Amino acid sequence: MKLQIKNLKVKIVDSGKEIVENANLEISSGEAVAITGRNGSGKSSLLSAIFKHPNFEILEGQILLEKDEEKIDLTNLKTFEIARHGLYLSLQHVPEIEGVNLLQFLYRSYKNVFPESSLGVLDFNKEIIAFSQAQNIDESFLKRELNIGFSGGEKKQAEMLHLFALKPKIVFMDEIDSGVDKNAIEKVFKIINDFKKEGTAFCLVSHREKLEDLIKLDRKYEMENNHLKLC
Amino acid sequence: MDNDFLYEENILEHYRNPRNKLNKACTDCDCVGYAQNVDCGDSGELYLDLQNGRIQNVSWSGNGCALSQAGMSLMTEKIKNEKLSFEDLKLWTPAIIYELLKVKISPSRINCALLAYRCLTDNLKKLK
Repeated sequence: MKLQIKNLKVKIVDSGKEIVENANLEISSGEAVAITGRNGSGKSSLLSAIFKHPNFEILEGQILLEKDEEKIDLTNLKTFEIARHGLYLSLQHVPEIEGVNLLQFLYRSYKNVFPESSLGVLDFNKEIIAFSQAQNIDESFLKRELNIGFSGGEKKQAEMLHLFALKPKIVFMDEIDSGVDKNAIEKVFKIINDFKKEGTAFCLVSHREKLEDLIKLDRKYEMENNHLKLC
Repeated sequence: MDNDFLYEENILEHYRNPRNKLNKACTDCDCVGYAQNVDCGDSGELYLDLQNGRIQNVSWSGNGCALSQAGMSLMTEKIKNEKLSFEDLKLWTPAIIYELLKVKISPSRINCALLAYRCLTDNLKKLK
């Protein structure tokens, strides 16, 4: 599987400001790429635009996915359609939603991405608990409300449960390593590297200087003057 | 109490994606069992096909609340998965349905929870 972002131009809907003037990026199965750039340069906006956040509008360019020898144009697809093609976005600030149990949220998300699946919630629960135990993630997260009362490290670990549930092929992560202690970072990147070995691609937005200490990078991109370029 | 959210989700899943449900009434099955809750409008029909005392096929149709329809789905899934016989089903009690639903049923919801069981007992009466 390969994703190509070609000459993407993005504006902020409210203000009309062109936050991304030209973005080019390529990522294939099993690769890890990094996006760096100063605060406010448009990195998070680019990711949000790819996933059709309503605050952003794609003005020009294309998002193309090569999958099973087919080229699919994701540029005008809705967020859930993009998710069904195997893409996932981990937000920098994950939402906290009261009254929504994490297990129920993950199961319903799973059923949205895999509507043909006959896997029942009881079996889904067994599988995700087994994964949590294998990865040393506290399984009690599954009984808690979505990110309510979670520490920074717990939120990032819960994101790993999302990866297990939704099995995305290309994952965009916005500062997965920020606001997290050393133990949590090591646990999270161990899981990321395990998924990478199985073919999942990761595009990591990060300010970390030594990201290569945590994951082998195939390429680096930098957002500068609203342009995303290969370093 | 600890896993109530899980069992509630299981009921909702069976309500949203019912197993063994037909879009319309079966007209060529061996036996049809029927039940309804007059108070709330839940209704169900259970269709059984038998051969030499074994259940060859089980399906259902119906309308109603999540609890009643999930009960139909869960019950028919159990009958199909465990390849139960007519003699096995004669031994069933309402406890089997409660065990499938797994949630605590209040007195006002017993009729909803046991709609499937009442369909089954109607089948069994007709097959005697």
